[in-house]
Amino acid sequence: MELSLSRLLSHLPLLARIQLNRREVLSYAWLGALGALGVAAIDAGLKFALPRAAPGKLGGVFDLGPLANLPTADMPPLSRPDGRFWLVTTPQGLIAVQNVCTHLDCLCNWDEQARQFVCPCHGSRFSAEGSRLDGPAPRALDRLVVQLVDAHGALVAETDPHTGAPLPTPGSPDSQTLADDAAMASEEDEQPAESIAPELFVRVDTGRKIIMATSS
Amino acid sequence: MFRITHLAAAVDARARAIAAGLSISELRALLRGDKPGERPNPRYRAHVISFLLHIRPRTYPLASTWFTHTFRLGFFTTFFFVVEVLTGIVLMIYYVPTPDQAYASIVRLITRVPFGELLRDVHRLAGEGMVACAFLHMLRTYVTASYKGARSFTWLTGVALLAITLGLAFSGYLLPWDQLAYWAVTIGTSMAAAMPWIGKELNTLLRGGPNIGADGLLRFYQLHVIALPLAALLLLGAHYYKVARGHGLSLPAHIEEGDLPPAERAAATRRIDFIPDLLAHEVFLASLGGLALIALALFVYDAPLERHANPQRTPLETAAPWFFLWVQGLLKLGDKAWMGIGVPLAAFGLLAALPYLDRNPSRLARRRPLALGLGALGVAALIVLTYLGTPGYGVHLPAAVAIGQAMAPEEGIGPLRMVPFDDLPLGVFAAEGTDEAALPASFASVLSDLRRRLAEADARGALPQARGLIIVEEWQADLKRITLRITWTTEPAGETQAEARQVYTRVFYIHRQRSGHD
Repeated sequence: MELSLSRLLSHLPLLARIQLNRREVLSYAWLGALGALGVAAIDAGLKFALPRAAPGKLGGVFDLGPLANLPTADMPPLSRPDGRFWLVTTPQGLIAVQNVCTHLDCLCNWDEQARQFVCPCHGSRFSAEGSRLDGPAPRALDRLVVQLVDAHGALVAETDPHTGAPLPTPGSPDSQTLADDAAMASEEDEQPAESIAPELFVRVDTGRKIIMATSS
Repeated sequence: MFRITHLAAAVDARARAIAAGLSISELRALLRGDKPGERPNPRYRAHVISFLLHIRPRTYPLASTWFTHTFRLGFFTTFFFVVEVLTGIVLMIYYVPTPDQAYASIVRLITRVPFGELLRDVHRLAGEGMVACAFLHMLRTYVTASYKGARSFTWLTGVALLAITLGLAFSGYLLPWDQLAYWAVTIGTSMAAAMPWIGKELNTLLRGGPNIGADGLLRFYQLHVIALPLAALLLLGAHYYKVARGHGLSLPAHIEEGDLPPAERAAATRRIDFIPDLLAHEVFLASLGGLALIALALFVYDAPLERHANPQRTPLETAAPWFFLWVQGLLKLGDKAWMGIGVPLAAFGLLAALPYLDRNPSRLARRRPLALGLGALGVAALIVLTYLGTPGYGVHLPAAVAIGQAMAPEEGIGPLRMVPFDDLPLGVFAAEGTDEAALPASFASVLSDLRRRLAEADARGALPQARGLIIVEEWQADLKRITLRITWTTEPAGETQAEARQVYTRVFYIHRQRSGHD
């Protein structure tokens, strides 16, 4: 009458000591199977409920018009709430700063008096460049990639997506590289590099977010 | 003759079938306060054969029903839950859980539907009452040490019920789809993202996407009307059943453990029947509660409704509901993972583990100084954190914006909007140098209020040489455009250049037939 399975089990010293009978072993087996089914059902439920929409619905490229029309460094930054960013003109160049507070996703406001970004929810403050000054935010505001394009839409220069450093514009101290780029771009159009600087247009790619180092 | 007795017996049998075994004459005896007319006592049997009564004890020791022992806090928590279910079901008739219609459906409910505003006010008020009573009930249970021994599991279901109650209140918060709702829930779900390992997924799961939108609203609606109420009902059943069939209501500690004369103890532990004495008492309390809710909703309490949600702009002074201010206070203190998630989770963990941590067998207050001291400390911490969480603390608005907020807040009314429509004279009025005697008194007082605030900010150095203007224009028939303009210099007092002046402007409109909600 004894099944070979239970005789086999009885040879294992530990199992022999707790005296499993056949029914108990089978009960654990089907209970375990039910448990596994439950875990699989939770997994299936999560897959069902987790939205499949790609993150960053805003992800488009925002056209901000000619470079010459941007606010200067002493004016309030250009606000684009539809893209959740500001374009800040600094002496070093252009920065696209996301207005989403890195603390809990509230949208920061520009305080012109202090020339800071202030989060209305928990009081985090950020400099005009987006670096953290005060409050519970864990890091600087995120940045987006700024692009300079010429009249034909060809890319002249863009923010380094690794450092997020300000993008120099003609006239800013670091503009040498930009001038070279512009010269290269104009060479393709077979124009002499010494000609009048071509008119540049500014775009911001909201699909490429740059998370700044915590130290800044 | 035979037929009439036959009929009477048939009617009696029907009555017994409906009224859990109580005959008509027994029901009448209940109303008259007579003793039970049959043996065995049919009033006890009702607790066996009726579903609704089987979760209530058939008798209570007298001292456990003393008002000062329970304050009826558990009863009122359940009472508010029932009110929430009833009003909630009715509100679902008009509410539409989509971003483009949710707000409009609430506006329609409170402006066009008879009793709609009352129902919404009662629903919101009872929800807040439920949170308050659940918390106070737990505090009472802690103070009287009614969580020990056989009651430890009941305490655990109570902790879970408190969490579900907070979840119900929070999920209901989003449904009106106004600014308050949208941003409070953005913050709440963003906190969930700070959880280790599962945070990101949990956040997306709740929001239904990277930001709260149609999917997120539907998910919160589903949580609010189905998932959480069902969970609450299940746990509430377990909570009640343990009291009815497990351990009963706790006696006051000094009766249970104290050194009492036998006669006094016997009087205090004399058992009184649930039917009819306590049942009548509960009907009375429920009527009182219902009356108070309706009176408060009619005359005192207005469920807030701010402007339509704007995902592109966070309002100034974003406030959590009062029962979450302590979390907002924690968040201002530090890192969101530790403060926003870690501390609340640890607090709930401590509450859940309390019966197993507190090994002191005594329930007497004088024998548990440590537990009561820690409890007082916890309540004090909660009060301090709540204070820290109020919007004024920690968030410094620019001085001019702060004055604008005080005079005509983005949300709510404020003194400038309180001026009656006809008392708003057309023209340009400077805060200083206007002949206020010629103006309507209400408008003049607002003007002098503005002058006082500007002078105060000037004295503080926040707004050097501040000047204020209120411009009232006739914009359309029965519509006035109000402009509040504050200017100041950035230079220290001394030279005044016109071009160096900073300007802050706030514009809003007032209609003659504005409602109280504005």
